[in-house]
Amino acid sequence: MKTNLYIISSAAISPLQAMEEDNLRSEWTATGSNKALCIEPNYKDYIPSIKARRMSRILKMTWVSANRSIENTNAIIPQMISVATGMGCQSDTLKFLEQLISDKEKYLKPTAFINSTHNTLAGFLAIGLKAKGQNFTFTHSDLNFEHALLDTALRMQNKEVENALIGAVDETNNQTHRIKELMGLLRKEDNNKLILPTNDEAYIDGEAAIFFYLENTNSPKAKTKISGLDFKYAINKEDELNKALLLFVKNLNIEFKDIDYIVLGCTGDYKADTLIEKWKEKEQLQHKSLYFKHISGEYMSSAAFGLWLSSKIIEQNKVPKYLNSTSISACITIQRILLINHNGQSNYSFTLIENNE
Amino acid sequence: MKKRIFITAMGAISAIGGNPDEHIASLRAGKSGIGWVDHLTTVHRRDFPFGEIKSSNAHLAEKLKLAAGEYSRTALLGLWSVKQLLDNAQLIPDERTGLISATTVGGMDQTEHYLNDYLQGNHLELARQHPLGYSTEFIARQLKFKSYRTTLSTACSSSANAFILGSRLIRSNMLDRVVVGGVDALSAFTLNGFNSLMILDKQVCKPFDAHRQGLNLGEASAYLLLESEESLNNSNRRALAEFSGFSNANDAYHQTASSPEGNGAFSAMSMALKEAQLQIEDIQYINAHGTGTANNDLSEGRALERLLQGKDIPFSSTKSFTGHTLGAAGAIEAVIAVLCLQNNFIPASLNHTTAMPELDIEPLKNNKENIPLKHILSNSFGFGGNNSSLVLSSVKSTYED
Repeated sequence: MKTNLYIISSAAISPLQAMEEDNLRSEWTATGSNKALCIEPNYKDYIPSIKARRMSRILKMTWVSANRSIENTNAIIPQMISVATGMGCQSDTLKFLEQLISDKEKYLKPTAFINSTHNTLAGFLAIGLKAKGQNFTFTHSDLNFEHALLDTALRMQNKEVENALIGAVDETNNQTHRIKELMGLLRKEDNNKLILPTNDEAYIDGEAAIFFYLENTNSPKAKTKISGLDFKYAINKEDELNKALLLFVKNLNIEFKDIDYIVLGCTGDYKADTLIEKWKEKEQLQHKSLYFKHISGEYMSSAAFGLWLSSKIIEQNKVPKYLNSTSISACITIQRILLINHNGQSNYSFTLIENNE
Repeated sequence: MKKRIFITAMGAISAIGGNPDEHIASLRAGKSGIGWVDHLTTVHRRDFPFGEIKSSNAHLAEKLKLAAGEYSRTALLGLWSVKQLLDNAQLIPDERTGLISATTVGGMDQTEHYLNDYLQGNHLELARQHPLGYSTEFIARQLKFKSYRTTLSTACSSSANAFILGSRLIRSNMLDRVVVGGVDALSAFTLNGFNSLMILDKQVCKPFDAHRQGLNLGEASAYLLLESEESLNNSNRRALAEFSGFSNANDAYHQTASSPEGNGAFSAMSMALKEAQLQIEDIQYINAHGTGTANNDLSEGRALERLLQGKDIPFSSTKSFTGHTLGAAGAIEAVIAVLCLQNNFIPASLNHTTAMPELDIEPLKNNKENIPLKHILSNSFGFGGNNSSLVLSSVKSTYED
């Protein structure tokens, strides 16, 4: 479907670079770990220490990133807030659970429980920003950030809201990381530094807190715009993805040749990425393809990093080399980026990001 | 004009029944499902009563004809009601049929037993079922959904918000019909969480009573099929009710408490009425959130008082029958509202004896039969200040007017 979501501002606490850095880093080196941790701001610069003491790490990430995304806008109070989080506040959840197990359900304090609910993050933003409008938390196991975007696009299309604060937040956690390793989902040490695409069958664990402040009307502040969004579910045949992508661009009155770069949400598990990789080869888009999950890691709301990256690439008209292990073709003025995402399951999202200058 | 949205099929399981018919029978008989647990493993099994579904996981899996394996109760209960709904609707999900499920506990019912096993590489199939999105994807895969599916989690208003999102997807022509609802199984995690907040009643809960001591936890899953008028006319189904208005508003007051004046609750109810183009006097029954906690009932009671302005419109909390089923509460109460509309019946709030000194209003003490019902307002409020109200309307009036 066609959308008119103008990106007025965004902020990212991510493994790529510090939140305060405006431009995309020109160089990036892998840490060598199979866990991509965020480069975190000094929270003391943003949150009074008395308040910070009562906030968990994920809540601080959320609060600081969300505020950064609206600080230079005219947004006094966002009319709606949506947060996409696959695992929610899992550190608080595990903290309460471990206490429960070790103390055999006795003498439990409520703080960790209160902070454990998935909508703690969006609820905290509502209280802090005095935002009394719709406050949703999307918690699906895949594409949940894209579902939050779709809901926003529909509300804006219906003229229910003029602006929205939309974010994706997930944090890594030692226990969950260990469980993913035991499931065989994560990269082995030798492969941790690989830039995608690879022949590996595993991914890097990841995290981020990324927020976008969106408006439904064009303005000079909006350098980029989300102009198309669609989904295709429960597919396992190459042909179904090909058809869905053709239909997506057709509905937007463009062709693949009008798209300058394709940002691929390939996870790093070659088997799970097969349909996207085959489509890319069929359309001969190897040199237009950019990858990001070797940097951000893979988690349930990782598409937001892909959107943030796409938007930055268009804004700066520059593609960093570390987004593909092979060569990347040059482009004079970057007009359009197609983000194709999946999270290792058989559901796919397509997002078109356009230059709005 | 806004597209009309109809409810055309339902599926439900809770402590008061394994399908919608059993629910109306229990409500009519004044038969609560709250009592001692048989299946929940906890040291508190005799400290608090619960609204437990009296089927073991093995029994549920067998009834659902699932392959041998380990399953989260949340996934099993969710599948139970969606399967029932599809059978009742005689519907095979196509590209225009979505699924929106809400949950707050996900696979925690298993993780609380097996966390240390997961970390040793055992019971990993259950670890996979831990995330909230799992049960939705499990239901979608088992019942071969082909299109949009997502999971919402906004604490105790979760499944009411599934209605809001679902109707938006239909009105925007993204879907023709969508199964909306929610599921939560009882777990020691939530029990201990609510216990640490000291808001569990050691006896049966007494919503809106001066002597209320807190809530009783329950478990349930409930799903309703929302459908556009066009889709309904092209099917063999008939409308059970119309989903005529909704609102989600944030109290923006406190993480776990509602504002004493009930501002968020008042604004959610008022906006839902406005959306349905109705006045408060058009409503014949309000199914309150009514958890039985000191804070909720005072806050919601004050909001109701402001809304009613002295008008005598009955309200009750059916959590005195089912317990508070958290992420499933909005949907199970929507099922109850549809049953009330169909049967011209209003259920009483159980265990109510003494009016709250702060309020001039009281919940309904005795069931009412043969009351022509046109519109019901149903409330679901959650942590994080998340307040949702739904308006459900009789389709009988469509033919009578």
